[in-house]
Amino acid sequence: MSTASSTIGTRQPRHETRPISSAQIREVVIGLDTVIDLEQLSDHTRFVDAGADSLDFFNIVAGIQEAYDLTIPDADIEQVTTIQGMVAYLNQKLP
Amino acid sequence: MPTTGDDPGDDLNFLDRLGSDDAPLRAPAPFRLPFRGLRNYLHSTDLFPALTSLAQQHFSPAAFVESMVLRRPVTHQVRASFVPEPKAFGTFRIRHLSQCIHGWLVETGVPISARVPFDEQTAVSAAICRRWFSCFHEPVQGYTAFEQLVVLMKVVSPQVGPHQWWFCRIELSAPLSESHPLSFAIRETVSDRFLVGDINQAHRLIGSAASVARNPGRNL
Repeated sequence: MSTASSTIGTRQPRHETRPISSAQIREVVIGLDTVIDLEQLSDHTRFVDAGADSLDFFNIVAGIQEAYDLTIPDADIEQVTTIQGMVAYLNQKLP
Repeated sequence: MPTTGDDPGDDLNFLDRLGSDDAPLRAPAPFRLPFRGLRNYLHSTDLFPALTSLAQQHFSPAAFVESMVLRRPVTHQVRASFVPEPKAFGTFRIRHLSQCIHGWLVETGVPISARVPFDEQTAVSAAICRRWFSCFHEPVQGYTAFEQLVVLMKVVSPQVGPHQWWFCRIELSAPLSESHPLSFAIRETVSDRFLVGDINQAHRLIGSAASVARNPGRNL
């Protein structure tokens, strides 16, 4: 279980250039207060299969939105259920 | 007891100072909480003050709840633990000086038999609601700051989606003050089913809080 207080404060996006890497996504996930088993979380493991519940998943998506200053619409949520999916999505959507 | 400190020596010093009092810290007495109003589950406004009392009694009056995460509703009495609990329904952190003490919330099998009245409407009526923002001009008498925060979240959440919203998380960098008015501003949403916003008090950002839409029959 990771714990951190990275969720305080208004949107403060990162200023990282593409391509976004899985390590960068993993860093965001680690900084959130989740019950995910990080040792089980490979780039291709669905967050839910590593122990995430719905609250964790929402936290991850919100954390990514905040970190990269974008909104992931409902229709795209299925694309970001893994770290690799998140990486592909961000690299496609970010300028 | 997992702790993190700003100084590498903090944990050791802290454990040394605890001495023989370490044992009760590891197993606080179960809470004795009532249901509020017509609710048949324990509410965040029951759990947060219980944890605040725990922090102040076990550490110092200056200790405060820095974080509380609730993952599902509970209908029985609750105990706090300072060791990891795999069946925890929630987690918390207590800030005590430079130490951060991690804790877990566990539902027991003890039924809740007490019930206390609770009038939320007075505070709801006093809340000012704008687009993705709510506040009080003054602290509302008869309500704790945390109760007022939950009301602010409740009145603004329907702007995100017409759901039953469930308070699920608070993160604080400073304790809530009982003497200054609060405001809450939504800053992030996900799929119109999750929102997180900033908590401001006395013109200062002091933390964030989140709510999630609750599906009947499902956890959260």
